[in-house]
Amino acid sequence: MGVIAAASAVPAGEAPTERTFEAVAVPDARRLYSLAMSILRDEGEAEDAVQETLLKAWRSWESVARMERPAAWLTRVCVNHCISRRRLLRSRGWPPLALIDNATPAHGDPASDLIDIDRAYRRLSLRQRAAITLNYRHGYSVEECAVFMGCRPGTVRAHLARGLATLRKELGND
Amino acid sequence: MIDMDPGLDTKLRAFFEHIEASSPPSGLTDFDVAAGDRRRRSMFNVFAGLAGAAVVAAGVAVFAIQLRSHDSPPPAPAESSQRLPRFKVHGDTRVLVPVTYGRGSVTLPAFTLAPGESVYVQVACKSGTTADTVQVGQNQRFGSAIAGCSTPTGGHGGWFGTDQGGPSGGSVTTYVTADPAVSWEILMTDGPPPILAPRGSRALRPVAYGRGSGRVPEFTAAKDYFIAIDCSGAGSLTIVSSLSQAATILCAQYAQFYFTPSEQVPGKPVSLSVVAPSGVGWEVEVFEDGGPSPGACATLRDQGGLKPTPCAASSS
Repeated sequence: MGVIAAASAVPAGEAPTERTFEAVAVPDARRLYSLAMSILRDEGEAEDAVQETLLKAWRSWESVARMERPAAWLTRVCVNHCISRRRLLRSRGWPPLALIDNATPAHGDPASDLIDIDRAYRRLSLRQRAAITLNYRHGYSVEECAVFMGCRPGTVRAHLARGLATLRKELGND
Repeated sequence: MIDMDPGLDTKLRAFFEHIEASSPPSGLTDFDVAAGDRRRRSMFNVFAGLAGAAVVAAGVAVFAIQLRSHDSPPPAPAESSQRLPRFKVHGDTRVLVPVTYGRGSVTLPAFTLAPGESVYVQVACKSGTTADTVQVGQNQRFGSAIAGCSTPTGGHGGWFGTDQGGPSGGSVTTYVTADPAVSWEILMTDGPPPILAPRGSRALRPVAYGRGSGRVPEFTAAKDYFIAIDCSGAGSLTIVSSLSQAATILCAQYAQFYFTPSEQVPGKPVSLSVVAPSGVGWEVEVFEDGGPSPGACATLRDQGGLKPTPCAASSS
């Protein structure tokens, strides 16, 4: 379970430089991209989120590199960017996202299940998606999710409960 | 972790595995801040040759900036088979926009400039078609362009804006305009840009660089030498030689400045001091042959020629 590939901090005695940035932050791009894709469900937006995250990391690399868990910092920035960015786009009437692919496989086909779950998942709010992704998929505790999402643990629990209820309802599992 | 009924668990697990199986765009995994090779000698010939092309291209590249909303498509990554040359930056250079790869037209993340701070833009491009140009503009200003994207080696060049921070600094948004078939990469740093060698000159010692007041390592010239100075930031820079000769530059006015001390003693060691506010970044390089006449100062013109200029900063 989980795809957390915790980036290690800069080795003791080594200054935070371009080299350490490329060695520590850039390899985390794949994990961040999966995280952003899980929340945003849009390749371009996910790429944008990761670029923004790495850009912020680079600008603050002096301090980020010396953190005990730079990966956690990157995660928090990425999650917050996903939520805020998408909120902005929605308010501008961003068009509905496409399904996983354009094909329409037969019912019972694994691809059909993926389309069903994707359709249901897209009905969740961004915060519900972030809570489910971080807690269910990445294995973070509710308290850790709260830190990443900038809210209280109780709010995370509410997002999880409502998100799962929506998924069960949409998928006919309730 | 949340409790999940088996049916939903199976579906969600497959769903997330499907997402995680997709590869991130190569532009992300190639996200790259060029390591600072502190001596840019190897870049000089490239820049000297290509800056001419960049200046010519900039002259014909007057274009109205199309303000793009954030709804514009994000940059498509450059293909790995079309990797472009790496840029170089000094170790103490402030990176405004890290090396960013893209394709077609995009809006880059905004950055903030300090008062008087300038921007040095480096761009490289490659095209799969006859589309040949990448244009770069900032805020409401007209921009500059790099041509030669469709050539076998691609296009490459840079330019320097001396007034971009303005008297009070501010936010800068950069717009890249290119055909979708053009892959490009861009790096934006604060100044100063690399020193360009005037026609016929020969570098005597490696570039020294710094911020605020500092010293240039001692050197010995066998014959007449001249000093090239670049600076960026709010305020003036004065360079003083150990023979008590000095020149003062208003950094917002000159990007490339050349000074030939009048009293030179071949074979005698010379040390140089730089006096500047802490916000001024600078580069100093010493050349032989091809500089201004003794006691004179000059700035660089197109094609590597020199234009005489006063050796002391004026307020105009």
